[in-house]
Amino acid sequence: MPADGPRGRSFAASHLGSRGPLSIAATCTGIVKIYWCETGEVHALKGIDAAFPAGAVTAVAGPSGSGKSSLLRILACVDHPTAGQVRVGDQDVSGLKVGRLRRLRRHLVSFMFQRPSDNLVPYLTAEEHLDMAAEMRGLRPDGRSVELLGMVGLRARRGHRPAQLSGGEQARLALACSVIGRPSLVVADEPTAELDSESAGVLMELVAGLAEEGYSFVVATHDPIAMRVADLTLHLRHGAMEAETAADRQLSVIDAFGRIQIPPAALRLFPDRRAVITTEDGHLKVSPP
Amino acid sequence: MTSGILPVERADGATVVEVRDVHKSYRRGSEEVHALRGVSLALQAGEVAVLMGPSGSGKSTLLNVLCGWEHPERGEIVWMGDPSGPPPSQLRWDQIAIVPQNLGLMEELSIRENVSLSIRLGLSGSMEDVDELLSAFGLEHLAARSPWEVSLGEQQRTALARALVLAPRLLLADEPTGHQDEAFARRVLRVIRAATRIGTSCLIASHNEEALRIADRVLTIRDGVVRESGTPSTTQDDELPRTFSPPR
Repeated sequence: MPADGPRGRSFAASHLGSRGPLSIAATCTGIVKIYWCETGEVHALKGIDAAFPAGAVTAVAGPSGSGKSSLLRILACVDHPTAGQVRVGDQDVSGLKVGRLRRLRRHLVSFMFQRPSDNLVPYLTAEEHLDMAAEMRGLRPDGRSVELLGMVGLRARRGHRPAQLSGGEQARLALACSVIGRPSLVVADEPTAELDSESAGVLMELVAGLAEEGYSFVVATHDPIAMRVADLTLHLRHGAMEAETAADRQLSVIDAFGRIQIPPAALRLFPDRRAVITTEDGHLKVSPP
Repeated sequence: MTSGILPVERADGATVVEVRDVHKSYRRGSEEVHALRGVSLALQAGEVAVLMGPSGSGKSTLLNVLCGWEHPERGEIVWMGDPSGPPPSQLRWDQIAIVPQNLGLMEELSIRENVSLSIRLGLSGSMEDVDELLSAFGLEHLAARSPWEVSLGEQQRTALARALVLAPRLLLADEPTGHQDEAFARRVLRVIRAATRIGTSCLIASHNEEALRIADRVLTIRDGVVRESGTPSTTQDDELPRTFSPPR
């Protein structure tokens, strides 16, 4: 892996290069997150290095407890890492004080909650939601709201309030709100988890289309429908990056200390948790002792 | 409570909304659920009606029909005594404010900005009322935080404050104490009770027995049928928080 920038960047660059010069929407370097609770410390993230390409969909996959939510909260600028550096757009957000971060976040990142209705205000119509999102990001109403509603297939529903929309329509409205003002990053927490497969497919096709237009998405998901549109998938396990998948090729990740995770299926070969590592002809061989 | 200084339509006893023989059913998988089977009731200005009933009895459906989010298959909703008036779905937030179980706070806005959303949108309301409600709900020290940074109970109180800023004619609240501890549940109920002083009519769906203390009327819903189940003794005005005078 050539050392040409943030660790993890070169893999994404090599697989997404067909879209032209790759730019990066966000990077994490050596991210550690420790929570302190009554029973002791919880190490949720153990040194994550990752680059999130601009104009692409990055999926963050992994079982419960793998650190997905912690990573998402840090990328969405609602939580600080215990150590490490986070850049979103052209801002280093890791060291910012809470107030500054909160003000900056409105323009830098938007967030989509898992439950579609949690993204929406019960009193506002679909069009008012978009006007409100535009106003919050310092834009003047310019007719873009109706255009965006048309793009997500809700033009005829512009006067409807959230409870008059189906779950899929609510999610599409939340998506339209999240991209208004072109934030550097749209972070979505399992956006298809509460949708039927047809609505999930429609939503993710829209996400993919927006990525083609230059919007940058990071999506935590287990859902194959959502994974299918991802340009890059980061697999987390036990708070560390296990592997990355791009263009159907999966590569294991070697962290800054040289650690690599053995795939769970291969662990049974090592009941004593000891291995012999040999280098032969440029290949690394890991065998039971 | 009498309100001699209030306009007639806000004075106690004036009917705010009437539900006439409303039927509503929906499909759950292959099953057809008759959520409301001929419900009739009237809500008056300045009263608190508490709607009790087991889960799945139709409480939320009734609130949704009342605010126009769902349309009845039969029957009608009559707003302010005018059968030819606009349907509830077209009424503004200063007429009907609903606090559903999904709170829908805007995460990019602070707690104070969420509560003052109506002002931001150019509807009426004043920042004095916003601050008074923040204080009444015990949120003043959290005003600058975002909804992410506060508990679910605090988020629920924020949604209630946001609903009350415009002094709506009708407040519909679905389990408004559902995320509150005992002390805050009492506080929430007392602020709701205080809101009726300016003629707001409140319908609260609740499992919480404590809600009966502020109720003028208790309605019970079971199998889609609503029955009046009595008039409990209500909390006296002098037990209400003195810091809160409802917005006008």
